[in-house]
Amino acid sequence: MSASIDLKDKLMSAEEAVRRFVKDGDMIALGGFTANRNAMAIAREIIRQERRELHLVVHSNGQAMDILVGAGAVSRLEVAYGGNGRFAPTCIRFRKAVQAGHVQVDPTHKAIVTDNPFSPNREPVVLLPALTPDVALIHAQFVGEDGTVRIKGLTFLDIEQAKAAHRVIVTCEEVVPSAFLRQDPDQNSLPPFLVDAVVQAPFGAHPTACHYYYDYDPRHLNMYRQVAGDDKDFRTYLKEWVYEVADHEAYLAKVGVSDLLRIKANSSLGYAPGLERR
Amino acid sequence: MAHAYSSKEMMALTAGRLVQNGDVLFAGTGLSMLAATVAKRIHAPQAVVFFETGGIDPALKELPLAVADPRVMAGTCMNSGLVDAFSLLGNHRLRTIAFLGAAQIDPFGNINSTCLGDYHRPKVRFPGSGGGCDAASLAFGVILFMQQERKRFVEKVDYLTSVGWLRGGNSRREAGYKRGGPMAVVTNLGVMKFDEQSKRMYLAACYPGVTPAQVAENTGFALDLTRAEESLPPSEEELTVLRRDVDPQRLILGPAAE
Repeated sequence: MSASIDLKDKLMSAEEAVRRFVKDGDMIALGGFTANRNAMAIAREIIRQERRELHLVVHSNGQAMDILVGAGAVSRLEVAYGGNGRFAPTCIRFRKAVQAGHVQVDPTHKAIVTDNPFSPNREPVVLLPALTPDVALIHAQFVGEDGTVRIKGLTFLDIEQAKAAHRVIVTCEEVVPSAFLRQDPDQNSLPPFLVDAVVQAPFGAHPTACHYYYDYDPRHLNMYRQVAGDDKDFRTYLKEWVYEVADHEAYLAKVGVSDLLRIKANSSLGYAPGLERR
Repeated sequence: MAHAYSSKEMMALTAGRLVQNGDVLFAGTGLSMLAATVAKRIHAPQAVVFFETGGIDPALKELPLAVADPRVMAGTCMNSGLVDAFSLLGNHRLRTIAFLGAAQIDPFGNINSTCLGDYHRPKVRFPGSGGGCDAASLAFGVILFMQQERKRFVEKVDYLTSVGWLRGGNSRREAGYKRGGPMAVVTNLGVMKFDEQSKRMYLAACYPGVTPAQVAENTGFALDLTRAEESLPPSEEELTVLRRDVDPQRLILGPAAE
């Protein structure tokens, strides 16, 4: 079985994945949900490569959406919920950008209400065409050497987003032998033929959570909340945490071992029990 | 015996009292999570909590701070996705009760969690519907949490995020909603319900020490006060379960009452 040949074509750095698969003006589906399993390593790389005029389509986001909007990369946004739980009931840069008219918030499609032809009473139904994003950005726990993707915990809308998109970039905590994933295939989330780029990025969702690996990082998210409201402070944040950080490994070095250990998940529970979250 | 308690504690417990055994509770962040958890522990042990994100009946050993908190996916009977969760909300067999909050509410329980001012260039942008519109449209019933303020209880909401009783009377059914509708509005001053016929909000209960006049003062539309009763204060058991078991760090409850 030529399993590992598949992944050799797809396994690449975040720099290459963004360079090849994310263009100015793209419609981008962000996976994850608020402070959980956002593709942060890719989002930071998109900012470093100065992508512009992006059209984000998300359900409920989150940290990735907020930094992309804050960095000026986004011109259009379709979102059901722009919040980050208790860390930001309304996402901070998102709120500012919408209030200032810096992002367009119209939907691509307007829903149509029409009579249901199958209903004897002709009750109304709502019709809405699907979106076809240019690229979906997903962070997963496992990718197999054959390219199979396994997401642990809740999948949110990631699977639907990946199926709808032209291209899919998956960052992952670990690349594992395909036999490991094929032992229990009902646990798997995406088949290899729906994945275009795989980037190995441990802690790639930081500061959002990744079930069984790490919790959300209250320290970083609280710090973000302090700085994100002020334009100058936010620019400093981007400078220190995105622009002047060469890559994901350098980012993690900056976060530091103590903070990563603090949020490390308990293997049984999936989160960090007793984590100081105030 | 008199116990000091905060208005948040009263709101969580009041909403919890509205939960019945066998309800399937669609919980959001914050107070709704407290209400659902405390109800389960006291009088509705067969009530099942599920989150919009797809975690069903989690262990909840630690309090989740968001519907996508990893704590909502631990010890569940099933983990699924958003699409599954929303279809569960609307499942015809289930008495799904959703707890929702909003920035504004009108006399028929229609709510706004999107923005103040023009949608394209708002004065204030809120997070948006999230699962709120889905819940308001599909659930068996909705319980709303609101702060009682004139600027929140308005004749007409700036943006219609989620439909309640629409224009009152039978208008919700006629618009095509098969079921659902708001059952109660739980605020920091009392509880409002909706008239059987007109579907217009009226004052059902005031918390101990609160007068109907106070509630009216803090409501930006005419409110029927004639049916208001006084709520029972929290019991010792309710407060103990809430403070000791459900939110010991007061992550959602915030500061204790004086």
